[in-house]
Amino acid sequence: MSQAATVEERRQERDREPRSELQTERGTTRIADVVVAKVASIATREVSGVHDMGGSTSRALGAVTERVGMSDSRQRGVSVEVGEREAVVDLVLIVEYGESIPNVARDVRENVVRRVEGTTGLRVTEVNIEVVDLFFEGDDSRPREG
Amino acid sequence: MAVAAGRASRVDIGRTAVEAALGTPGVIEVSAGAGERMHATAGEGERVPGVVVLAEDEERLLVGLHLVTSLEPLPALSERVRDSVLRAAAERGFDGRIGRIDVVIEDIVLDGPEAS
Repeated sequence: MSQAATVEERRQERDREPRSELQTERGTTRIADVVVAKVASIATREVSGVHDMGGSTSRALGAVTERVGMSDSRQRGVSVEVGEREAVVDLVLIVEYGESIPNVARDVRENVVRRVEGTTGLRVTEVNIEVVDLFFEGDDSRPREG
Repeated sequence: MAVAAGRASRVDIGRTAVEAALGTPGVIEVSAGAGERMHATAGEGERVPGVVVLAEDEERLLVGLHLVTSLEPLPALSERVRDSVLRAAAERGFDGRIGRIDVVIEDIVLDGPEAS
């Protein structure tokens, strides 16, 4: 197969791909990372069984920086990679003790995909979830170890 | 302010685009980026933040708007912004100079339960 044929095949393959609503003949729409992170965070917190987001260090730092207006809790525990058409979302969660972690993870994944795709028009290809802690009733009133 | 089509500068077009975008429901403000200098159109002693106007080809200009919006379906909002910009440009007689209108959603502002 010649190189020219390969390039032409790639072009035809691209043309066959469904056109994203973010890329129209009138112009493109680009969504900043922070937008995807905020939507993903809201979607995650909507799910029953999610107590908080972020590891202990990021939550401790966040408590300070949020107090002085330097950060936003809605981006804590979320990192995203956003391309022209697709996004990957990584989440760090604390789940309430007694909840089924697989079920919570499934519900979070479904809600994040639905909300991010519905709001931004990006296709969410991955939602990676790390559960770093469990929340026990009364945990908020005693100092955390580590 | 009416601007003769032939005399419309990039600053005129940028200012019209920003005014039209800000008049679109769902658009909260424009974003000029870090230091208020990253995304702006400058000329004639004036700086229009939140919009970049570049040559698309020999005849038409590409308008790039950087926006902060409310939380809503963003592709549809972008289309409404394009409609507003083209309508405002048509009223001033230079819609023929505008080619693509690219929209960058730089941030969203939350209200209601999502804000807390």
